[in-house]
Amino acid sequence: MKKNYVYIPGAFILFVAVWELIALAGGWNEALFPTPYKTALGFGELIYDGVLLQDIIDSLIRFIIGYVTAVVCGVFLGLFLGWYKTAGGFVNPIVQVLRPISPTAWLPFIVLIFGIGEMPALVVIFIAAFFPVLLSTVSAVNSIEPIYLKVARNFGIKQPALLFKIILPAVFPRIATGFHLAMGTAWVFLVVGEMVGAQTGLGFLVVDMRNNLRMDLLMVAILVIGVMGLWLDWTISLFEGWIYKRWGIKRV
Amino acid sequence: MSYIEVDHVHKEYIRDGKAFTVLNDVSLNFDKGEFICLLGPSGCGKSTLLNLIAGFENCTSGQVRIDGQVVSQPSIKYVTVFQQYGLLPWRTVLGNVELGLESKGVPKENRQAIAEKYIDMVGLTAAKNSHPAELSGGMQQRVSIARAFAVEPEIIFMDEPFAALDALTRMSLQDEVTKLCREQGKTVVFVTHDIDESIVLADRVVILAANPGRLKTIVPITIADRSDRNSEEFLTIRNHIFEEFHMAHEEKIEYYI
Ligand SMILES: Nc1ncnc2c1ncn2[C@@H]1O[C@H](COP(=O)(O)OP(=O)(O)OP(=O)(O)O)[C@@H](O)[C@H]1O
Ligand SMILES: [Mg+2]
Repeated sequence: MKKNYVYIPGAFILFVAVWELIALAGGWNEALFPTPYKTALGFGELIYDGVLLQDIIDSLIRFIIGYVTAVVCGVFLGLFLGWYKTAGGFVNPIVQVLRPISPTAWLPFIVLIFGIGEMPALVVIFIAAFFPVLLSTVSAVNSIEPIYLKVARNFGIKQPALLFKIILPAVFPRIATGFHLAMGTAWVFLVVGEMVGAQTGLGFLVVDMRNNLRMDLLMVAILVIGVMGLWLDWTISLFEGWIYKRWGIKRV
Repeated sequence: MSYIEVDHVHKEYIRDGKAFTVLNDVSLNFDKGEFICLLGPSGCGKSTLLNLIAGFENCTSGQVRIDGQVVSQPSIKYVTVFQQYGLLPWRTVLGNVELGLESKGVPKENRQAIAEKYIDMVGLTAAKNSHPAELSGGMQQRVSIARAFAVEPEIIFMDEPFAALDALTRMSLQDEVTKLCREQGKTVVFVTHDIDESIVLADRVVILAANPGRLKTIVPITIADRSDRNSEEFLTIRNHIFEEFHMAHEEKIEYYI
């Protein structure tokens, strides 16, 4: 990790070189397969228009709304199902069946229920983020250190204080791992969600540029999605690292 | 009537579908203000007995009474200090010590002052805003002791609290804990498998034997100066306990043959 200032520019050069080579070897029309140079010009154009910034902001807002809702619901339902084992027993099979289904498979129903426009993107992000958070919370509650509960019993800490003072913070590092996982998955599905009727956002940009046959701008959108995903991942890694440090857990 | 009465306590666990006896008909009486050590080989049921007295577990038959009341669950009047400290890593030292005060309903303004007093008592004022992960094992156990004292319990239970610490830290904590408990007139039940530790700390040492766990004997400690671990008196008592302890071991071996 120490040599990031060497690796990252190096990786960038390597990436551009391979891209350039593919473009050369393929010999396609520039309009169909943009070269790095053409894409850079396109990037400038989108920045200059202010379109790109607006799309990034809109996507981020949708993402944050969908993701945060999923995190809050996932954590609270997970705490409940983890703590009340009987309820958990009934719900677990349902969750196990729903979990492996790609959120996009639900799209027709999502559109039927929520219509097109803003909602499908939010719902798809929600579904994508919800299950990893839920499952990591349940398993964290199931493996909570017994000593914390013993201390709580000794000091007469009862619900709801038990939940907020002991259980939630005790399971937090493990839930944070779920947050990380959920963020990666949800970002992937953002683009899909925004392809259904949204009028802004990076997913919309992808569809719009494809329809307008502006492959250079499509490439810009694709790369921005990747870089934003990396940035989000990095942000949550920092958060996770802080939690681990505070809780005194060694990273494995 | 004694303060703590362990009355014909019997404890069984189910293992592989079969019941096996961990404690067989243990009866003990402790007085208020006494410092009691439970001493015995590993697996003889010391922790189980302590957990029964502290109310974390229930007897299969017999009962434990404290101040005449049958114990059925833990209470903030009797606080346990664990070998693994049991500190909450997300709270600072101060926050950990305030934990019990919060649940006792001490108003916010007073909590910090009380917690600081007890943190000072265990010599950790400089570390009061640190988190447990930043502290050594000895310091963490001090926090746990401060947290126990802060709620002003009548009894303090300790289950091998110093077992994970190095010899020097252990000795200084032993001296501090005896001093604190005696100053404040606490009743203490302290589990250990270290003979010297029991002599330094206890008014009476309860020796348990294993397989099944049962009462072996009780040795009163009547040494004027406990800080000298090499005095004639200390060595005599140590030998005496060692013999009892050793016999407890031999019986265990016979049992296996
Ligand atoms: N929850 C439990 N279920 C089944 N068996 C148990 C349980 N708790 C303790 N035991 C068994 O009871 C016996 C006594 O255990 P206990 O922990 O009280 O011993 P101990 O004297 O404290 O030992 P140590 O010195 O190793 O801490 C052991 O054989 C142990 O395996
Ligand atoms: Mg034990």
